[in-house]
Formats: sequence, structure tokens, C-alpha cells
Amino acid sequence: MLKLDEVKLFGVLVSLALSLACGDEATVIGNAPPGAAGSVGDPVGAGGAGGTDVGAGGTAGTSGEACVENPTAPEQYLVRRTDSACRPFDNVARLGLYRAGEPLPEVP
Amino acid sequence: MIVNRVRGRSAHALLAGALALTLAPSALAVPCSELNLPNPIYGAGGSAITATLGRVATALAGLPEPITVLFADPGACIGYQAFLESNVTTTFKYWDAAGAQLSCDPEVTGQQVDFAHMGNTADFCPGLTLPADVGDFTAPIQTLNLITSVNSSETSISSEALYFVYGFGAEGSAAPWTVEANLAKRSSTSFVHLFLADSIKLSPEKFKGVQVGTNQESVNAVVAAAATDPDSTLGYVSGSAADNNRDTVKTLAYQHTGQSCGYYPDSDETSLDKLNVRQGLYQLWTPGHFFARVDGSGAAVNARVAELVGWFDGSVPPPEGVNVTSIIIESGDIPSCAMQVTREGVAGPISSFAPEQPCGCFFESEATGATSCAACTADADCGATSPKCRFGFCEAY
Repeated sequence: MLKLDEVKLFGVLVSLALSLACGDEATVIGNAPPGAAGSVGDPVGAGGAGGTDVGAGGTAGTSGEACVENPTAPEQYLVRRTDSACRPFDNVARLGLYRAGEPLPEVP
Repeated sequence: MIVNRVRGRSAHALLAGALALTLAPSALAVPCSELNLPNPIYGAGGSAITATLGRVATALAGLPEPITVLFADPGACIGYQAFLESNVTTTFKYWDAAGAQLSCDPEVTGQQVDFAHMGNTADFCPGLTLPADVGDFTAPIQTLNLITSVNSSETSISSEALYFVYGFGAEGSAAPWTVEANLAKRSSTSFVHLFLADSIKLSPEKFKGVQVGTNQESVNAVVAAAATDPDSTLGYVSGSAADNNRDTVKTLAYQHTGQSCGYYPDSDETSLDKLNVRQGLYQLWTPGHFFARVDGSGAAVNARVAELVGWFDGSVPPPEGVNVTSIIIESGDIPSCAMQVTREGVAGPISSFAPEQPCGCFFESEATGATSCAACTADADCGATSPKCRFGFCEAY
């Protein structure tokens, strides 16, 4: 019978395995600020998708969303599993007028 | 929604102004009707399809019974409206069997054309609709590519960045794209312009930048601006225009709202496989549309147009020696049979798609020169997992 610590360790290992599997998806090229991934409104500890996807982007991604194997809902196609290369663009770091979590300002 | 509000408000005024500015006929070319071109098919629309149409037209011009495709490309919505009104007044392009692009003039009173092509649906154009006697036929999938100089150090851009760049220009605080003179933009009646505006939720009338007339002119503008400041250059063109100019411009990876990474239309910056379009990761794509007069059953009235449209969508076998599907792929567009996803309308939600006769393997082979699919000449050549021989390769069904 597993002890509590062993159960926790098992859970961590399973999570890590899933995370690394997702991390095998898009090959992220380029640098993103540490902790940029899913920095706003993240429901579940979205500090990157693991593997090569760590630190990618800075908008709304979560590790769970970033590896949809067989998307069914339209929004899942945005984050479907892929082997394609990707290049993150960090809105927070690069756009002076961008405020994470807020609507974009009206164009004059 | 911003775009819809603008469409409704300024519809006819916008098109009327654009028509007045752009429909001046060329004074130098010869009237098309005096050239006695064999089996002519006249069309009008945007320049996004011109490169693809030109290659198909070249092949058709070389048939034993030649067909001449003449196409005027004043812009998607302007061309479509001129088709509806039988009144095209801009120069036509046509192609000989050697691939030379030639030109001729419309009738002085305005040329009636047999078909129109746009990257978008009819109702995407300000103030225009699809009349009951006009059919909307499937055309190849087209992408919108965001381009910069090959010498730029930039590799990606986001939907939000585009909003600030094109909406605020120099005041957008979106370096390095803050030099408005180095931002190429199109008119508010262009497919790529309307499509980008809708995708980034920016009113099509509020774009900063320097306006140019065609996809190729956008490429030229980026190249010219790059002479002094390559990083600051930016434009948006059809995928075929971007791919045909890879020596001077490069496509930026595009990060749509809701994505944490930017994707190329292809699996990487050097490939031509359009994998991210075909699988729905890259968001800036849409099915193209041919428009033609139809009878009560929905069939194109003009027999040549019916064939042409059928060759493009694969429903009619092309003439012997002309592989239209292959030409579409070589041109940088995507036949619908190679798609794994589809979308509602022009830029609507994406969903799974299973083409009636899939050609994904053939697409990969033609576009990239290689595929992992098994080659075949009949179903008997294929294994259990991919039992159906299509377009020379074993497909899943």
C-alpha cells in the first residue's frame, strides 16, 4: 500500500511525464522572459508547458491547453499538439501600450 | 463588432470612391476583343489569386484547343462589384503558353466578365451581397502572410502587436514597427486588408501606413523600405506572393490571441508544407471563392467557367496534361483536399474537416518534394492503415 508521500511522488511523476509529452510539441525558438508564460489569469500553474515549451509567450496559454492532441472546440486548434517550430512574441515585454488582462485601447 | 459597424456605415461611399480612383483604363494596351484570343474566359477580382491563375492559364493556353484566361485584378471587392455590374474598366492580364504575362484593354464602355474571384465571401465587402443568380464556388485556400525584409532581425508578431502597429503607427510603442512610412497597407476594399482587419479587430479604415495597390506592390514596398531600416518594415500579402518572393521578404510567425507562441503557415520558416494552415494552428487563412452566374439548379451558366471552377475544386477532371491541383500547390495555395480543418465564413471558428478525396500526401510531395506516404498506382498497393490510393499516394480513406 502506498504511503502519502509516495502517492504525492507518483502524482508529480505523472504530471512531469504529461508535461514533458506536451513539451515534445512545438519547437520554441527565441527567448521569452522567465515566467512569461501564462502570466495573466492562469487557472492552473501555467509556468510553461515543460520541455521545449518552457517560458514560451506571455498571453494566455496554460500547460493543459498547450497540448491538445485531437482538438474538437475551435479554441483548441490554437493550442493543438504539433512538431512545428514556433516563435513566441511577448506582448507584455514588447508592447508599451499593452496591459495584460485589459481590453486593447481604442484607436483614435 | 468593429468591422461590421464600419461595413454598414460606409459601404457604398467606400466602394464608389475606390472605383473612381482605380478604374481608369490603361491608354497603352490593345483592346482584348480585337486580339481574337482563343476561347476567352474573362474574370475580375483581387490580386491574391493572380499568380495561381496565371500558372493555370499558362497551361490552358498550351492545350491543343487553347483556352485564354483574362483576369483584371483591381482588388477583391472592386473586381467583384465590376463583375456584378458587367463593367470592368481596368486592364486585363492574360498569359501565353510560354508563361509570358501580357495585357489588353477592356471594352470602352466596360467589359462584361464571366467570373470573379475573392479570398472572401461576398458579404465581407462593404455593401455587397450575393445575388440569387450568382453562385459562390470553392476556390483554393489562401493564407495571409505578414512579411518583413529578409534582413530584418524580427521573427514573429502577435495579433495585439499588429493592432498597435497598424492602429497607432508611430505612437503605438511597438518597436521596431514604428516608422509609418515603412508600413505597407492596402485599400479598404482589398481582401487581405479586410481579412487582417477582422482578424486583429481593427477597423479597416483606421490603418496607418503607406497604401499600395496589389500584393506584389506590398512586397516591393517592404523591399524598398528595407534599404535603410529593414527591421521596421512590415506588410501583409497573400501566401503565394510571400512564397514567390522569399529571396527578398520573409514571413513572420504569427501569434493569434489565445496563443502563447507564433506559428508560420509552414512547419518552419524554410518549409513549404503549409502544415500549420492545414491543421488549424496558423490562423490567417481562409477558403477562396469563385463567383459566376448560375441557372436555377445552381450550375454555372457559362460552360467554360463551369469547367474552370470544377478543375480548381477537383470536381471536374482537368484537360489531359494539365494538373490544376499540382499548379495550385506550386503557386503557394492549398487545395481543399489537403486540408484537415475548415472554418465558418471568412474568419470564423475552425473545425475538423475530412475532404471527400483527401490529397494530403500528394500535397506534401508536391510542395516539399518528399512525403512519408507510400506511393501507389492502385488500392492494392496500399496497406491496411492507408488503404486508398489517391493522387498517387496511399491515404487513410
